[in-house]
Amino acid sequence: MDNSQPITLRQLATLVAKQLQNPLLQNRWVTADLSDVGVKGGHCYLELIEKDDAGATVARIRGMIWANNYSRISANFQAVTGGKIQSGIKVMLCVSVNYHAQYGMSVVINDINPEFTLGDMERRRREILARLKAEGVDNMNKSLAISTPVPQRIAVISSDSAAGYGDFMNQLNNNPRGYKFYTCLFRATMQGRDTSPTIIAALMRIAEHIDLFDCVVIIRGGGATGDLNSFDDYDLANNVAQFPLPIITGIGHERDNTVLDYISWLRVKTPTAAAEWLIAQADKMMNSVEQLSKSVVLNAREYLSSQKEQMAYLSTTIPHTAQSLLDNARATLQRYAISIPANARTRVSTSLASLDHIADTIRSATAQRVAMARLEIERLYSCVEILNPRNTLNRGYALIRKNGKFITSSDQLEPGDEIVTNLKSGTVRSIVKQIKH
Amino acid sequence: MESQQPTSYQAAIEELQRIVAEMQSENCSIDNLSEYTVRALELLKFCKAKLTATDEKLRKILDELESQQ
Repeated sequence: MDNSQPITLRQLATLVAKQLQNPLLQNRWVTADLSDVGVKGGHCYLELIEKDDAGATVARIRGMIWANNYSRISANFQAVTGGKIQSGIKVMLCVSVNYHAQYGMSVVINDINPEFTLGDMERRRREILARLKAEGVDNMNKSLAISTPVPQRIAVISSDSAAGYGDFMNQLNNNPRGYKFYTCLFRATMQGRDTSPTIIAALMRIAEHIDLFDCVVIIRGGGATGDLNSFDDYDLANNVAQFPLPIITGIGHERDNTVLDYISWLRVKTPTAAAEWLIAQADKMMNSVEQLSKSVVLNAREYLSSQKEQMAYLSTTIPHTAQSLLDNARATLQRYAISIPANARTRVSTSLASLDHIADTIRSATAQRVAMARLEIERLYSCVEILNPRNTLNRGYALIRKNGKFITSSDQLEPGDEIVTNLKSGTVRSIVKQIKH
Repeated sequence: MESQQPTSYQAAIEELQRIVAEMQSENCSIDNLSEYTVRALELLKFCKAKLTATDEKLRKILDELESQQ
């Protein structure tokens, strides 16, 4: 081909298109962010962009998913990620580069790998959670103590036109036991890029009237699935984490958790479940009140009946006891009545016997003493008899006296003294003639 | 024993639990049984009313707050 000859623009375009038939540019897996996603006539048109770390766009290519692929790709994407193919998400797509003489270069998207997006969403959630944790706020709302066991004053953040809000209110206000709940709706956009700023604004409004509420309920107004991505937002998560009232979230998908679900005080799956939880708290309280009520009545009854029983016992026991006390006393008296005379008799006869004994003793002692005295007298008498001078005189001895005095020695006498000599029979008066010493 | 309105459920429930415990204890005498029972029923009424009776004042404040947005 002669490169020096000019060609027409169309020829150039055809040339470019031909060059792009390169297998390296066909069915190529590419990662990119999505932007300006729109559906028209069943076809999906969008922009693939890539941003640098500073957020500046460094590459941009138009893309489209033809209708025949779009329904399959989008259904699969939604089934795996729980969200739609929409702006702001990261995707991995299988593209073929295409050049059109009139519309320029674009890529035709043949397939999307939803696992990549899921992973990216998860990574983003993890990043937000890690940041909240590093800042020490991730558990702040979770660890709040709710001011009352039955939250009845509820600040609701939702969109009032949404089915979810209606479900919540119906469930709450038609509870079978007639508990009263006081709700106040704080409107917010529950999908798309306005989600985070409008919910934050609603939280600010609630904060101004914080004393009026026991808790906050954030419920997603939309249908079963949708833009969960918009809840995975650092600013929103940070506001929820640090909000001073317990926040209950009912925004999640059955399968997916948003960042809010990790940091909110309580996470339930649906708006209806949020209402059910609130009703269950009232039920718990009512049951415990009823239990206490029964307990009070039961205790009072039991107490009264035990008192009655005691009274009955006492009323039968007291007369019985009195009677037996009387009987005992009487029996004791009777015993005394018998035993006293008997004792007396015994005592008297014992005394008599001992008197007799004493008398006998005295008698025999006296007799003995008399006998002993008699013997003594006899002995003395015989002694006296032996010493009687008459007996000596009888044996031939004589008693000599001078002037009445007995003379036992010749020294007592002088010749010429008159002496009187007593013999056994008769008395001799003599004069001393001679003395020999 | 307190005789005024309890300040919250929590307070009411706690007082009720105290009364029930008291009624079950050895110290309960027939002299304060009726006092306990009357107070307990008063507290129970309060708790039930808190759960099921409408607080019109609060209702009005919240309605106003909601309509201001």
